[in-house]
Amino acid sequence: MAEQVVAKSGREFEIVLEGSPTTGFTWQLVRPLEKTGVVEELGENVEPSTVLAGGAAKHHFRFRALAAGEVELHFVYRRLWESKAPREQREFVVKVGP
Amino acid sequence: MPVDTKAIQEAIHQKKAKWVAKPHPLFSQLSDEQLKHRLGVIPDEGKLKALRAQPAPEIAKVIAHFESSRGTPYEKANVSKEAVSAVADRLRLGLQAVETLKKPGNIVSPTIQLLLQVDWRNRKGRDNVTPIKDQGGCGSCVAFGCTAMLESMVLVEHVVPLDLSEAELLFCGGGSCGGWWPDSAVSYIKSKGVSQESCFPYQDYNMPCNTCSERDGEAIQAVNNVVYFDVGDRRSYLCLVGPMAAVFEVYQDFYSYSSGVYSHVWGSFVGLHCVEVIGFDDYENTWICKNSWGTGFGENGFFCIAYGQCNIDAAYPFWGVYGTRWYGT
Repeated sequence: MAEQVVAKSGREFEIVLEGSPTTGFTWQLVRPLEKTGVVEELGENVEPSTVLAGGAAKHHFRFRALAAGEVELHFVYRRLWESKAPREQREFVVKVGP
Repeated sequence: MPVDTKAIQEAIHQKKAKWVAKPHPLFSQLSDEQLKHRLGVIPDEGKLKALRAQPAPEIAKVIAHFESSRGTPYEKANVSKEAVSAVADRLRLGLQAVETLKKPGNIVSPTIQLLLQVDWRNRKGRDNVTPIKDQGGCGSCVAFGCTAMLESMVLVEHVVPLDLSEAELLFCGGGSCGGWWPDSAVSYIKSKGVSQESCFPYQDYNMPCNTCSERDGEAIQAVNNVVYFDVGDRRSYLCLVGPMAAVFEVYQDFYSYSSGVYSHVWGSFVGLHCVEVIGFDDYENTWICKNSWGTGFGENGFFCIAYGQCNIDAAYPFWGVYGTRWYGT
């Protein structure tokens, strides 16, 4: 079930996903991002939530809404060297208004 | 401009790193901004300060104790001043030899080579490292790194291969899938020991402490422990006692590690990770480590990380345990 994100044209927004990156699992945005001209990807960073070894972290994906329209963003949580199905998946529908 | 594996390889080349990156989707089509983005690590300074403030056991005494107590109960091991002095002399001469022999062109005898290359997978004529495991999606690296170290020490000291329970160490020792710290794990290993994997099998989610009824009869504990910040002490312990546990900073490029000697060249910090250090190599200037991400990662589950990288031998100490025995004996 896709989650909805509403953004205004010209504004930046973030999608934040929780994970445990020192397990080897990491969130990835499935590419290519649809080149609809609706949303532009700005970057990503991981913010550890704790100083403990093996602790959880928040994975921030940053975007800019470009023009009115709708776009789907699909994220997978997996280990890069494994060919297994992703451990978790998240889908977002971004609706950009004027 | 998008970045791909070639860009990472270029960074590896430019920084004269000695590892190989595997291609994968994460590093495709990333923006320049992503490359620039770096996060600083905020280690638990209070805990580390307290650790540094504790006087480290003198390495010569530890090694003399370890050597003297083989085959006898550790509490009864008689370690004379002469034995400690003899070990100290050996260590001093050993370190001098290392400095001399590391210079190009010097010939190294097989005996001296043992001071320059230590790998407990092939030490004392046998493999002292248990098979690679997989922690799955739970932040249980501390339990895996410390259990691996304990299993290795049972091999070193008793030549007995055991599969011990990471689940007991983590979930009965006060840890969780949300992360832990090796001091707490070592305390539990010393006070309660760790039972067999079959007594409390591991699952990669938070579980209540639930060991089997035979737990006390099959648990392994360690009588002694060390925490070393000094690199010379870490080397000497690894050379003459056994494998240790370590903490280091993981950056995004570590996920791409395939083989060689890893050094951080690209990507942001994602968190602290604990592994077992099973040796070092002075020719390659690297620590040799056992990871807990399955056999598909790195070199069949193992990896090498260059000296000084990711604070593995600077901000964070190495932890060691020895004097392994059945619980309560």
